[in-house]
Amino acid sequence: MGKVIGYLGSMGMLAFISMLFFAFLRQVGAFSSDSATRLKKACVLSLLPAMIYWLSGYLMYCVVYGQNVIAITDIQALFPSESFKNTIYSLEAPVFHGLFSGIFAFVGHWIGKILFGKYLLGGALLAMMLVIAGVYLLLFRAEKILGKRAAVHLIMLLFAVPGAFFLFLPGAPPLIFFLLAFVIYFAFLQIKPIAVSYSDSIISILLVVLTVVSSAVLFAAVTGKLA
Amino acid sequence: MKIKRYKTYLAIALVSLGLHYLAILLAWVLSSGGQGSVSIFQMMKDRLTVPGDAVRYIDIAQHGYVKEGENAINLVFYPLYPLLMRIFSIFTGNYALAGVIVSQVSFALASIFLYELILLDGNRTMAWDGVLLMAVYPFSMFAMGVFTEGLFLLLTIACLYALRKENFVAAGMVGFFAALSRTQGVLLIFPAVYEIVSKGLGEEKRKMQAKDLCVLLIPCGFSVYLLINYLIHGNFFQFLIYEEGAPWYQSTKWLGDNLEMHYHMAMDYEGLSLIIYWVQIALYFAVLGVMIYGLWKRERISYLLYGGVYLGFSYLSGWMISGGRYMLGCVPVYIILSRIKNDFVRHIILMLGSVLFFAYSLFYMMGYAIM
Repeated sequence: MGKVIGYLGSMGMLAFISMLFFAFLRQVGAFSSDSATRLKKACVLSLLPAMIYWLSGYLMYCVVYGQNVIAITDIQALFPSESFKNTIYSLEAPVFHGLFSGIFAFVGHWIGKILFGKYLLGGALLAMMLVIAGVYLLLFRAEKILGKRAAVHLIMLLFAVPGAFFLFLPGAPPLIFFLLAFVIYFAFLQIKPIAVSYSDSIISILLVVLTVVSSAVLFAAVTGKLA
Repeated sequence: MKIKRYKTYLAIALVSLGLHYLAILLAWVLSSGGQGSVSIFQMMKDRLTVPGDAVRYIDIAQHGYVKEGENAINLVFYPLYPLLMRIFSIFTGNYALAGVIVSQVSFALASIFLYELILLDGNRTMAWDGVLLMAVYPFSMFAMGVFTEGLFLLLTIACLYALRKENFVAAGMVGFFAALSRTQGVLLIFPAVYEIVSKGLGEEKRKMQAKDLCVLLIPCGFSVYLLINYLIHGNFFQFLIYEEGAPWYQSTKWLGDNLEMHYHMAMDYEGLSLIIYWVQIALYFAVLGVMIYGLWKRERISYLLYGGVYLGFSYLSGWMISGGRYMLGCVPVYIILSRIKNDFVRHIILMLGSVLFFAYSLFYMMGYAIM
């Protein structure tokens, strides 16, 4: 229970700091109202799936290992894979195992240093910032090409893809996602708007099917069946 | 018009102090049965001038900072309040009494400044509610005794008022003294710089003036305290060394870890859980909630910035047992809550505050370990 209170307190303060920063940007006119709306959407579209995956993963872990829900021990125990463990260790002492994971670990380490040695929190924060920034860029481009509604559907389907939860874990995937979004933003600059029409039910069905498969992958990761 | 204003100020002072004296009277009646085993004045002396850090402030006022001996650790206490105690003791002949007078007059003036500050952006009802919210903050009793709370509140609110009026010279000067009264005083640099920067970059496009640099007096106040450390002990940061040792064992840890520690302390020390540890946890989330509410309602960002920085800084403290007292100084809470438009919600908050104010004032006056 103590850890729950600590995590909630930490998340609350970090969320407040982020919101305050954006309020400042809005006040000084650094953001147009369109950009501010898009940023809010990017935050919501990123944070809600992240919370769903984290909570679901935790629930699966508690059931499989008979863990008391409020007696959180170490959050890194949730994903007992060597590569995830190496990511956590490299946040504390950055080592360049690979280009992207190395860059991520280096930046995450310094964020963790600012947070009084909370390296895992620093890594998680960096992952979320990269994902939100990537979603913002994708939304920007997708809204221009497909329209606002279709852009949101696209992002939601993206986060339902099996394995998408890796984007919300510290490591190379969020950095690669951001870089890809950056490339797509510029690559699709000249694409003209496309009229799309589809049934909302198709989106819902696709979302559910993909999420179910994604949950199976999540379960495999939590129970150590994924390397 | 002026007479009416002064009448209002008098009313504010009487109400803000009167509520505390009412709580003290009720506490005396309930604790001694009014049967005179301990006179009310003895009770006030015992609980307002003796517990916690009070004796240390009296010692500093009397003897100043010393280099050696068991009172060398008094260096951790900032100099402005004991200096004022020393000055006023010339008139009272008694350091403790001087301390009480400084605290209570400061608290009354702080209430008046808070009224005027809220009135700048609101109406009289909101301004009065803000004053009452501060008066019935559950741990506001500390502003009545030999503690820095009353003085710190006065200087903080006066600084925020000066910033709001774009009088950056006055803000710098008042902030200088705030930084000499408590560690948190230096945090006023955040709203000060924000006001200047946002006015320059925002719609107003206000040009920065030389006198704006006066806000840098705020960190200068803290620098004077560091200089005192150096002059007494040859180390600018001697106070940190003393804070790490007995009896404070202070450290700086991430606030999530500190909140977790408060929970474990609440579990291990049940007798203190509802007067220290659960209170500190609840206050953290309550204040954070108010700040986020203020963001949603688009309250003044400099207030939110100060409130957030104050909260975060206070909860980085690794062995906090005075969180209730510290949060008395988080002034933006009173401003934001006073501006809730729904009368019922505001009155419910005042009711809740009043009940908790009475309860914790009673516990404090009865000698419970509220620090």
